[in-house]
Amino acid sequence: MSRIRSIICIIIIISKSETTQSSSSVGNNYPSKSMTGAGMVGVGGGAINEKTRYYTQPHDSTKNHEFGNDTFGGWNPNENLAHLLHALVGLDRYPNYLDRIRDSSDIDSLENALESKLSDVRRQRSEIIQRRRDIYKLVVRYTSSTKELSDEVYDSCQCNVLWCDHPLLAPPKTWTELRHRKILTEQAFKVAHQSAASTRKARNAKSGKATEHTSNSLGDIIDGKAQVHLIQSLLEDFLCQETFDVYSFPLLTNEVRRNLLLVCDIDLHFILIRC
Amino acid sequence: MSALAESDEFAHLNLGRRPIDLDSIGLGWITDLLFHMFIHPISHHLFATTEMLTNNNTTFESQILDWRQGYVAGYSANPMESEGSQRNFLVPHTDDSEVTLNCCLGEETFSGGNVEFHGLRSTPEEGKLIGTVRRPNVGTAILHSGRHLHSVTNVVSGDRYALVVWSRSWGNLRAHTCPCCWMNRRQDLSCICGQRWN
Repeated sequence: MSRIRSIICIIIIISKSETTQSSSSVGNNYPSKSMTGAGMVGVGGGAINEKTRYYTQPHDSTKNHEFGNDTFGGWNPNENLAHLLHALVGLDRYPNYLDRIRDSSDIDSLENALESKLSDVRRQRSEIIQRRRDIYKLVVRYTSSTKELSDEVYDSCQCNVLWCDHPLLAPPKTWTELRHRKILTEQAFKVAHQSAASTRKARNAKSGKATEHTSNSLGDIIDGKAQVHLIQSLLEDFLCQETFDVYSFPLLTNEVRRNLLLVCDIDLHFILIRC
Repeated sequence: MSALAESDEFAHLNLGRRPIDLDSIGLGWITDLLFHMFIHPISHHLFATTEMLTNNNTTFESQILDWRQGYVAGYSANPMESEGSQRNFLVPHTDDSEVTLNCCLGEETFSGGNVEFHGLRSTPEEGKLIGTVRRPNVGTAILHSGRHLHSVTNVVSGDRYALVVWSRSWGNLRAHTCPCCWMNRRQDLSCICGQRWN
């Protein structure tokens, strides 16, 4: 089955290889690549958000334009994103924006274009919901969760609760656990932990209340309830500038990478490695 | 376990060939931890001004980034044969993010797959290879502006995996910058979505 899928993928990729182009790549300096060799054509030739583009000649609006008739000769919000954007701005900015349009078919075009986008949103939403439900079932099966899940939890398809007891992938609850499990490198842990503690002390000092609840608990930080301000002096040794405006720092330990991928290769391969 | 994902019941998910974010599989805490603990605070220091994440009312307490997505991307010397990696390289591109974290996973059993940088959008360096070609060390994270053009060179052997986290500023930057001005990192105040026009 997977072999058949692979063959189908090759056929699709070959047919797209002539037209696939990155929507955010630099056009002039980097022509689209296609990789050859051993039966692979056009693999990886696009950017992350690949959109197949079928370039057409721009519409010659002078042919249709009749002076004094106020028709939108080249108007086509279905085909031209720019037209749609112009309309959205116009609707936002001018009262009775559409009043200048005498030809109701142009208003129909706009309405159709907006409904088409709405239809796309609804279709993708429906697909995503179903996909996440199926992934949820898969994760339930994998974690072999024997928890009694309430209908509410099951219906919400919240996979996060399924990992609560996993020895490697459960979220750490305390700084001690985070250190013990060696998820972060020593340096990364030190920068984060010391900064969190320092932030709390500074806030308490500012408020003048020693017992003020200014959390530096790991759980609150992960949940975004408590902000971390990293100490600049610690960052100076922690960060390395690789090139202009690009920085690097040691983040994940050998242990966590190795254990994660070991588990992934044997067990979770279908999730993390194959993502 | 891979047999489970390939079984008829779950084959339609195509998990091996399509990116999936960590939230979908319940591991969003990893993204949250990296975002709140490192990406957001470091961005305050390094990217707040250059990426226009601040305004007159911004303080160090402000939430300059308020959205994140984490996913694992794979590259392989033989993407059609590999079960896990769907690409061999990636052409120069920018991300739909203000700040991107890219952390190489796995072991150092691959070669190639370097990350190259080609200048920030709307700067004289745009499109030019700048700096040193970066060979990603596993476990080391790279942090860069999402609108810094970057690419991944061909993976020559083995498989290379990266944990990628995109971060955005919906409440600040993207609330007063249209997509066109955003993409081109226009530093002036003339965007029609900005305060001057609203």
